[in-house]
Order: sequence, then structure tokens, then C-alpha cells
Amino acid sequence: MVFSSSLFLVYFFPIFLVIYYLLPYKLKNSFIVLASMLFYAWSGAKYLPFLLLSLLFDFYIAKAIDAREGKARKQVLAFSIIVNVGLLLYFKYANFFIENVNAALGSEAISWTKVALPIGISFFTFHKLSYTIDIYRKVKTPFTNIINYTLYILLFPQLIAGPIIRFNEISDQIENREKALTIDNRLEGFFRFIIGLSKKVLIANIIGQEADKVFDMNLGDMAMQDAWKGALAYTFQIYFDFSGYSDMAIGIGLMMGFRFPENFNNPYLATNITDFWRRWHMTLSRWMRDYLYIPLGGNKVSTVRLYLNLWIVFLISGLWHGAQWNFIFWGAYHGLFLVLDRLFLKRITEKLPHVVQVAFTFFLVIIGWIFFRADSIMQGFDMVKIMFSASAVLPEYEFGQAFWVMLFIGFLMSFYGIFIKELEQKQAQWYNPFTTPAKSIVFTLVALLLFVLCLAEITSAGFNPFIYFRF
Amino acid sequence: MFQTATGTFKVRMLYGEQEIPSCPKFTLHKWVDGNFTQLFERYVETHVGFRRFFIRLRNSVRYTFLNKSNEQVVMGKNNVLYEKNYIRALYGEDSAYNAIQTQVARLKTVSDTLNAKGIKLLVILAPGKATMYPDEIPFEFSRGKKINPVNYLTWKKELSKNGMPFIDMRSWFKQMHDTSSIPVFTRLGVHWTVYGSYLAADSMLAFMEHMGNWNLGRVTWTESERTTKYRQTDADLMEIMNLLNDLPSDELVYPKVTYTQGKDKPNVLAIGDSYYWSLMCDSIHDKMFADSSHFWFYNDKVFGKNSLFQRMVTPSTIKEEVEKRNMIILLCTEPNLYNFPFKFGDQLYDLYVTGKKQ
Repeated sequence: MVFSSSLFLVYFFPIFLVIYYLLPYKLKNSFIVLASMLFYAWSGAKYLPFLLLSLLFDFYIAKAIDAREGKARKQVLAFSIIVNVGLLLYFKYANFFIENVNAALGSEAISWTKVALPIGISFFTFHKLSYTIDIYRKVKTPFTNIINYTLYILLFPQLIAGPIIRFNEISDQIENREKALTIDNRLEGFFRFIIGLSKKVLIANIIGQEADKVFDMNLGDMAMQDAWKGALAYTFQIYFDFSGYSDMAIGIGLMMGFRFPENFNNPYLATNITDFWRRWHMTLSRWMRDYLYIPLGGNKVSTVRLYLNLWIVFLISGLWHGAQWNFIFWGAYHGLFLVLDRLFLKRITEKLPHVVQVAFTFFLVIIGWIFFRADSIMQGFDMVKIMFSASAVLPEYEFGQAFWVMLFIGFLMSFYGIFIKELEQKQAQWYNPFTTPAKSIVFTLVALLLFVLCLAEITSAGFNPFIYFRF
Repeated sequence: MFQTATGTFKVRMLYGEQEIPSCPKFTLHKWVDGNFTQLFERYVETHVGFRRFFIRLRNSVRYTFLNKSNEQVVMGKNNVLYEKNYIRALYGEDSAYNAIQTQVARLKTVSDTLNAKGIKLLVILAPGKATMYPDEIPFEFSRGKKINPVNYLTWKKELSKNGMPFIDMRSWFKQMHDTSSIPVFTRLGVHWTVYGSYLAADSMLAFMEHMGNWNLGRVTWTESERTTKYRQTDADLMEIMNLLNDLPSDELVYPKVTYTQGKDKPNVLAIGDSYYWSLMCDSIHDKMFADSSHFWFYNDKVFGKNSLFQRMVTPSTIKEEVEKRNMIILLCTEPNLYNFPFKFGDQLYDLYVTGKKQ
């Protein structure tokens, strides 16, 4: 089930909220677990037993880690990591690995039945790893109540697509959030959810149609204008899609009394790639830093090793996004610019005017997204080539009103803060609906309007009228 | 949820709405394999209260702010609407040159056979929307392409070459569209206008009269109503856009027709696409032809008097059906010419020439 579906918006979530608010506090967590299981099982019923078994395993292994000290503690953690990462590798990467081995050795060198990917495995594996590692590090003690533990992993707002919430960030809220169940939080959560839904449905989905037209084109027919159009459209699609989903998750969390970490902070205002990764998918960056980069030695290693570690982190980050070479390439591409930033690039770009720094970083990010979206690395390279070569091919698509309107909205929402100092604090103030009563009313009306527009988009999606109905 | 459950508020129906799925039956197996959830989500989506209003709202927002229509309709310049297949036909992207040559050769043989039995065969090449409004086709479809309606040109050339009787309504309508002050096509519809269909009928009846040496009834009018309120199919493309408010229509002319009866009422079998429907809707087919006359829509569905659906075409009785007629009319608009006359020619060719059974 996805948040932007009629079933979720009209039935699942309203019914969930009504029951959740009516239930006594001590039953709320159990109810969330039940609802989360239904949420997961709706689309992934066949994987639910696997998920529950792996949950049980980690619940008890965390207890085992907590009960041990020294080498034994480390060994149990290592066992837990091997099992969790092993499962992720098997489900997510086995097909990719076998395909590549077969391609290298000749077709069907290894016969193989394709493995189906359990929904959300990348996210719940990272959550489970966070749980066991935080317990190993004694940052937190394990939950004694399996319901609370299951809630951390299965909590439906973040189960399928994040944000990736480290255990230490939320464990206290799981056990005690009675005071956070306020009307203000519910309303703030509702507004946040609607903003996210609107980003996804009213912006990302529409501009995504423009991007799809170009990326589905035959490269031989693609003109420079088409390539730029596709690249820009996808750049905004992925931002509004992903940040919209994160907003929805954060909003739902708030309505339930949780405050999830932010996942995006005006990423296209980044002044270099290092800065970009402080603003884009922040929860993944922090997870990678805490559970991969630091264990690899962090900054306390030789310069060469440091660069190598950075690159490894980004290669793994690319691979985490999907079992395809173009994701690995995308990770390597960003890793390269991170290393270049440390070597010299950042020192040079910092001397440039702020707008130029932002524009240059945005340009690098666009190029990266082409490889992320392309079907193959070669398609990515070909498209980049087309972007910088004036060809005789006529553009396939007109830069019509839909493209310009969506591009304008994309630019406006991504760059409006470029000249504003202390933007984060100001945004927090602007987006706080409770500063004045008038603002609360305006926010409510706008949210309701946006909600109706989103529902209109969602419920209309499958309607294909038949012109010859009367004949 | 309230509206879904009670349907308290009346919501305007949608044009072109197809069958709404019913609630799927739950089985554990279907749930695990994802089949149930998929069908159930579709069911929920199509039963959301106010869905019809939501669809109109969404379409209106997209039209107003993004200049976008739904999948079925291509938005041209100056609010001229198209269907994609009409545009493809105009640029010859659906070329079936060789198939058409074969079809016409076969039809010629069939026509000669029928002629010997006293049955006339008339082919009518109806116009297409894109032909009428080539300059308003949006760039992503025109893209510097040359107008080259291969299928129409091939049909016309082959029919002339084989000496078969046909009416080229495409050329005639194009000329009228470009010169007449009365619209024979509208910006918002895909078919010829009601007015255009009367002209087409009049022309067809005159041609038939000449061909069969009959005295047929005629459609005449002395006065007409001028209005911007469209009727019948004159804004059918706009209708399926399902907007909250109608787009402004051109001034259209609706003749107040009278039907004069002739001495003869031939038994006609018409085989064609939706362009023939206007003749059915306006009772021209019913009033001018014998009661037992039929219209076979795409050589698939049989419609009789009062445009009532009777049955599906049964290939095994085609010979019998054809031989009781005085005339066979084959009518087709441009985007369907690649497939015209919808296997009817092949069926008769097999019956009369190769002896293959249907």
C-alpha cells in the first residue's frame, strides 16, 4: 500500500487514526504494530512470515549482545550483521550477481531461479542493523517488550521508503510519547502530510510524465533540447517524489506522536557535492556515517585510506539504491566529487559567488541523476553526449505549457531560499502553522484545497473514457 | 467515505465511462499472490465518493494550468482537439499500401460478381479530423512532417484504376471546410458535424440514385438554427475530456430537415465505422432505405431499424445476407482505411472466388 492511493487516504489511514486516538495509551503501540502488519501484508503478504522471523531473530540476538561483553559481544554482533546483510545481499543482489557472472562466462553458466525482492527490505534491514549496533555500542538498551521492538522495525509510515530512523533517535518516543499526542502535533502532522502528498501527486507525478517521455525515447531521435528537458524534469521529479514521501512519513508520524528526523534540507541549494549529501536523504547519509564510515576508520586514517573509505561508502550507497550498474556508477560519481572536494574542488568553488556555486553543484547533480534514471550506464553517457552536442535532429517534444509550469514550480520551490540568510530557522517559522490564528486558518484552507486536488489526481488516474461509448 | 456509502449528493455523470469493476472475492491465495489487493484497490479507486466530480476537477485543473487533456485526446493549437490515429493517418504513419492494393483488387472482383447478381457496391471515403485542421496539430505530432495520407491516396488511386464507383468525401469536405462559413467539422469534435452529415447523406443518396437508377427519398431543409450549443457528436472529443465547464464552441448550424419519400427504398447493407452512425442517428438510414436494411458496425455488430443492436455478425451467413440486398455501402474515415473494409472484402472474395468457407 502506498500513501498516495485511494485505499490509504480514504479508508486505511482515517480508520487507523480514529481507532488510534480512541484507544487507551497503553494499547496504542500494539495497535500500530497490528496496523503496520496489515499495511505491509497488503502488498507483501508472502514476505510477512520472512519479515517476522527475521524480526524475532534480531530481537533475541540483541538481547544476546546486551548480555555479553568483550569478544563474545562482538562475535554475536558480527553474526547478526552477517545474517542481516547476507539476507539483503541474497534477496536484493543475487539476481544481479548471477546475471553478471552469466554475462561474463557465457549465457546460463549458472542456472538460477530469480529471487523476488521483499518490499522495503533495504529500509528494514538498515533499521535492524541500527538496533543491534546501537545496543552493541551501549547507546541504548534493548527493548524488553517485543511489541515495542516490532513497532520500531514495522512502523508503517517509514517501513517502505524511510526516513531511515536510527534506533537511538526514536527508542524513547516508542516507549513514552504520551505528551506528544497533542492537537498541535496532529495538525502540524496533517499539514506536513498534505505538503508531502501534494509534492508527490501534484508535482512529481506530473513532471515525471515529461521525464518519462524523454527517457523512453529512442536515443537516435533525441535532440539536445529533449535531453535537457528529460534531465531537468527528472531532477525535479526525484526530489519532489522522494522528499514528498518523506514529508508524508514525517507528517503521519507527527499525527501519531512521533517526531521523525528530517530527510531533506533544500538539497538543490547545496554549494558543493559534500554539502549536497548533508541536505539530500540526510537519514541515509547519517546512517552510512554512523554504521559504515566511522567503523571503517572515519577521519582518523591516512589521507589515501580516507578517500578510499569515502568512495566505498558511496559505492555501497549507490548499490543500496538498486542492483544495477547505473546505481553503482551514480554512487561512484558522487564519491568522486566528494573526494575531489576534499582534494581541491571545494577550495576553488568556495571562491566563486554563491549563486555560481549552487548552479555548478546543481549541474553536477543533474548529470548524476541522468545515470540514476537511465536504463544503463551507456544510455546515461549517450544522453549526456546529446545534451552537449548540437544535433540536426528536430526535438521530439515541444516545451509545452505543462513542462514550463512544472519547471517553474520546481525551480521556485527548490531555489526560492537561495538569497535568504538563516533559511532553516526562517523556514521553520514560516511553516509553523500556529504562529497566528490567521495563519492557522489559511494553512487549514490551503491544506484542504490541496487534499481535494490530490484526491482528484489519485482517483482519476485510471479513468480512460471511451469516445465511442455512444455508438 | 460518507458519499461512497450513501451517495447522498448527486454528481454529474461522466462521458465515456466504462464498466466499473465490482468488489473482488477474497481468497487467501489471491491475497498472497497480490491479485486480490490489486483488484480491491482498483475497486476502491473507482468507488470513491465524488469520484466523478474529482475526475472533472482534475481534468479542468490540468487543462487550465497545464494545457493538458486526458490520454485519449490530443490538444492542438487554438483548442482544436484530435485523436492520435487521425494525425497518424494524415502523415501516412499507418501506411498499408500493399494491403490496400490487394483489398481493392479483391473488392473489384467481388463488385463484379455482385453486379452480375444485380447488387451494387459503393465505397465512400469519409474525411478525417486531422485533414481538416492540419495547421493546429501540436508540434510533438507534426514535428516537421509532410502531409502524406498514403492510405487515402492509395484507396482513391486503386478505386479509380479499377473503375469502381466511389465517393471521395474527403476532398469535398476539405474544400467545404476551407471555404464554407458553415462548419462541416468542429474544433471540439472528431466526426463531421450534424450539418456535414446531412450534406454527406444528400450526396450519398444522389450518387445511389444514379447508380441504381432509383427514385430515392431526399433530405431537405429550408431553415436552420445557428447556435453555439453543440448537439450529438459535434463536441464529442471535448465531452470525453470531462471538464467542469464546456469549452467555447464555434457557431454551428443545425438544419431543420424534412424527409421526402421517393418511389424506391432499396435494401441496403452498410458496413462502416462511426462516421456512418450520424446517418443512423438522424434516421436517414431508416427513412430512406428498406426496413430490413442493416448497418454492420466494423463488420462486427449488426444494427437494424431505430439503431437497435440485433446481434453480432455471423460470417457463415454473410453470403445469404449480402445477396438479399440491393446495395452494399462501404464507408470509412481516414484512420481506419488501413483496415478497411474490416475483412468484409476478404470474406466475400473467399466465398465467391477461392471457395473458402467462413
